[in-house]
Amino acid sequence: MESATLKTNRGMMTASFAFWTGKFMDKFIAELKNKHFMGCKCTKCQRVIVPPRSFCGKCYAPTRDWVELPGTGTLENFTVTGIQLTDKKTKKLKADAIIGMIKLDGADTTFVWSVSEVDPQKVKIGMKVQAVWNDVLAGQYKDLKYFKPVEG
Amino acid sequence: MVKVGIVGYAQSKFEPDRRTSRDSLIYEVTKEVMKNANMRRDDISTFVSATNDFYEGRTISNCFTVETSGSMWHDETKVEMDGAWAILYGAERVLSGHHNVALVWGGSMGSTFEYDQTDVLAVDPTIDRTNFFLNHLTAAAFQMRGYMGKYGVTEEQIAKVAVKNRKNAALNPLVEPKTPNITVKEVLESKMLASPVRELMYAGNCDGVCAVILAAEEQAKKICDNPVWITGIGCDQDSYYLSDRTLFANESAKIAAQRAYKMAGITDPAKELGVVEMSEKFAHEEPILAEAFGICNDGQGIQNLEAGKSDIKGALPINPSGGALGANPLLATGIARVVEVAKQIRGDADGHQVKNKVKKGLAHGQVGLCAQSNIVLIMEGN
Repeated sequence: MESATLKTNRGMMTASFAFWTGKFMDKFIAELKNKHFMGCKCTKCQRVIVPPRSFCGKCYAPTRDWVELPGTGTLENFTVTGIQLTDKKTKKLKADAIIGMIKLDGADTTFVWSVSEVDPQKVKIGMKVQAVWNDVLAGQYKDLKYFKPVEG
Repeated sequence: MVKVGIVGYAQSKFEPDRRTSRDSLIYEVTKEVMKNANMRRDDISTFVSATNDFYEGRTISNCFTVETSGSMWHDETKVEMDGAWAILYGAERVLSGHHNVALVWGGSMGSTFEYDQTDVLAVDPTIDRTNFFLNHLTAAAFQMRGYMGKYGVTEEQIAKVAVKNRKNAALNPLVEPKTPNITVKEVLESKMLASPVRELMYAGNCDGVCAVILAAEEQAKKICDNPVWITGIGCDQDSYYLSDRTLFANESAKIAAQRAYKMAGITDPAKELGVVEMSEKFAHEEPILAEAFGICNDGQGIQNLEAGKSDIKGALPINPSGGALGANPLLATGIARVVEVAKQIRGDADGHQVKNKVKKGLAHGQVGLCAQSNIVLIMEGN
């Protein structure tokens, strides 16, 4: 120990940043308003990437054609967590959340979103899921509430 | 090929809260490493550091460390990956022929920043950062679940990795705290972070700085009688996107190891290596990385551990120092792996020396979600 009266100075300021989402993600986000998932195809390997990227890293080639995907897909992987890393004080979620890797039908990639309306104990890899939309749609991420298991 | 020799090493104690300034910690270790190599700062021709602006809470973090690390008025540069990449950079500098001796140091003070808060800023700002569903813990959970599902591995088996490494860490005089009596049950009852990953399966972070001094072959022989040679280095970076990767394996680590083996002329790593020190940020990463390094067959990482082969007294000990689970001072972690292998080769690992004489060893560093980017160094004695 260096000294018994050690002092620390805390943060002292915050800084803010912005990111251009780009024309591909702009369209993806805007089309959520119509309950549409928009993906795009690599011009070389033809895989369908959703959420869309302007290029395919595997081929180092641009993507071009748009593909509209349904609101259904498969749960490729999942975790149940009670931790909210961005909550400085408690780091706790109000209730445990199921976070999953979702592969929409017709897509070759996954994205990470929450899964609800299911007992965490009963969640399984390979489960068919569907999107649940907000009542108010505004072309923003919160239009997509979560995914739930496909009924029946 | 001209070899690079490690002619000196030093580290601070790796502990949760050092309660000191960054400056004094860096001063202590850089001073110590020069003493270890019997050199003065003017004998060092280039300094390479590894610090992270986010973890330091100040940008261009090395502008504050030049004086305390002895690099003022010297050739000085920095990397912002794990410190193992700073060793790559330092090795390149001395191999270029333009520099005789490189001092490489790296580290951070986990006690001074919210690691979780800074690390979530690593995710894609156009979608993942809008909800933080994807972060280092949920990503690790996907990886662990993927590995368990692929090979029928249980949580109890993964917990054994945490027990081994935390027990090894208790033998390491430079690591705190010590948990020599930890059990599988305790690991499985520790707090759930993101199922199936639990707190004691996670490396977390701590305070620490680690340093090495590198010199090209001829120079290294002049500096000391027993340099430890870096004979192979390989690195590789995988996709950011988890679904573009194979989560139950680590392709990037595999390619990095193959590149390092090729450079060092290693054809049978399980037989030729005498020790492995890896940066397993989560317990399940150790079997995945052991498989990637070709130490055992795919899916056999846990059997390798259960057979006692990776034990400190085993045929090929993995993380006798405790590894990253023992102590994870971010940015120093990879340098510490290199130092640990050097100590094993010199027979200098106080308290955690492996049983058999070590001729060659492997040190590994990583960064990114689910070990996206990997670096492997092969080291040999005289």
